[in-house]
Amino acid sequence: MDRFTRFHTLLLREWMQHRTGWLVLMALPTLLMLGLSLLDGQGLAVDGDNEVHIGQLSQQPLVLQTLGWSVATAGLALLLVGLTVLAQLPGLARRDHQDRSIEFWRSLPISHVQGSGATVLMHLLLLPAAVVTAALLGAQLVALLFIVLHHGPLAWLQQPWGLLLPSLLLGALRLWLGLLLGVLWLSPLLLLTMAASAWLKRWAVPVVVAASMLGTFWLDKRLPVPLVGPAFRRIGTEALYALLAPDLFDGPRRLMQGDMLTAVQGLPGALIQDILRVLASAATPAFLVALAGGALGFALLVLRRQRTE
Amino acid sequence: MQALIEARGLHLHYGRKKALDDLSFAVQPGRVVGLLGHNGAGKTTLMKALVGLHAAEGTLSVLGRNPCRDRVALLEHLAYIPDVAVLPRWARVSQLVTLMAGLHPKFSADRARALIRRTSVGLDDTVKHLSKGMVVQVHLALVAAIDARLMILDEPTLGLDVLSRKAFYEMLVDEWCDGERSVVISTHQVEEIENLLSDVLMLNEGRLVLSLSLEDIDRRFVALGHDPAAADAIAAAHPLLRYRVQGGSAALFDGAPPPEVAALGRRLRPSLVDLFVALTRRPEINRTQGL
Repeated sequence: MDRFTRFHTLLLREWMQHRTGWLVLMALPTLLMLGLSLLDGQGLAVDGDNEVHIGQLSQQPLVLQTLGWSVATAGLALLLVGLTVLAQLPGLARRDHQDRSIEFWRSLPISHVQGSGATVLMHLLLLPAAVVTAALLGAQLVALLFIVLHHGPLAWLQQPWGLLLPSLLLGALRLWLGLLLGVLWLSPLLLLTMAASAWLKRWAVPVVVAASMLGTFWLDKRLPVPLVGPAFRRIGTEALYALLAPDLFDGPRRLMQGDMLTAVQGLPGALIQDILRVLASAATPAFLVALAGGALGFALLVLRRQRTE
Repeated sequence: MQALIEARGLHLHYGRKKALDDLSFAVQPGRVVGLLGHNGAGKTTLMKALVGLHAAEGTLSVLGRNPCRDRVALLEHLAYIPDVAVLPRWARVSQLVTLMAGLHPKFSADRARALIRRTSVGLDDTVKHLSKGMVVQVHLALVAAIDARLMILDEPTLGLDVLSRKAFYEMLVDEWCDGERSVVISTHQVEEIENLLSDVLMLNEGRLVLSLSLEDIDRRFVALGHDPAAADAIAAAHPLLRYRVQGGSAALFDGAPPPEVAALGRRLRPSLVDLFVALTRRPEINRTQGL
């Protein structure tokens, strides 16, 4: 039996254990946006300067409506899955200890690296990717229903798909890449918190928070060059940019105020530029340091699993 | 024939406490070995060392492998039940069969389903809704579906009723023990498995106090049933244990008693329970609590 079969089975285990909650999480953004799309006369603030009513959204160019629903649904999915992962993270490392099933898993020919790795990969990467992908697909259904509701069935088909499809596909690619890089940037915080939970149980989060604050507000003042605070800021900034692509949010304003056709035509190019920019930020020593921190957290997780009594 | 398990000078500490103290033994193919000992004697620790979950000092070879270094490769040829009530509570029985098939190369899903059908558990049942005995039945069925050379079972029948325990032992003898495969089984129900065992390992406070086949135990240890009138003479010969039997008293000797003492009673077959009590009870209790 090869390692891939075992690892795949361990990923399957995660799905079997959590699939009900994960299916709800995958469907929720689409369902919420569907509900929102059926409202009329309600206000929705796009940014600080412009307030867009849903009713007004139906008067915008169709391509903007489709893109708008896609961005909103994906953004909501990202928020929901991020909150879910952060809420579950501290408990994941000790999940199998509570019902003692860790002894069952340790009685099987699974390496500790595979056992811990499958959990980390599934919860930190594959689940968010699945939720965001489901949201992007669901958003097309929301856009379809919204457009049909306000403009009739043929209107959806008559959109400039030659312009829209590249934007949607590149947007999906940017999202997946952003997820991967965002998680990798955050990996020291995520995996060291998991490791702390494995070793310190309920004291993990307080200890991690206390250690972070101690490092930022006490240690940094005593070092010749502050390290902890700038490291947190760098990790946070890079992860945020990877996940949210703030530069691209200039787009909706450009789309609404400028020449819509030019803006949409430029969107795939802007997305490619952003993909290259976020890849370039990963080709830095800071990224390697972040990966090293994540690797340390993972190693501590594996060591704890190895030493479980 | 190479032994399936070979241990020499095994030591293991939990902090300052000695969990295993200079253990040396071997398990040959085709043997059913009973691992006996009081609570805290080191049975579970030894079993975990055998499957590479604890690193012990000394020399230990299981199926020709170092258990710690080659843990995954070893577990591919071994079936291990650490403690029967440890199946994941969220899982359906059918899901456990699927997962085992994907994780253990020697696991047969068809055989597992056939064994589970013999129990009162359905494939769609969820572990958290099963009674403790049913969980045990499922776990045993899953492990029995592994085509392994060595089975290591830590209190496998805890929680099972007498019929289920009997069915398990019958399955072990009829379908597992084929003269090539070996079983190491720890249990407190010594009387029930005595007839199944070929060898015994007895632990007391981390030390191996006995490592013998049952045939050698019969040859070495002598139980003498006697009348109360002979009690003093028997006691003077310093038996390992004096105890009550139906109709009188008995004494257990390590080796043949002197002929004049042997003449005072009739020879009985020593039970494993009596031997276990004799070898693992504190010596001062043995001396002071005469019958």
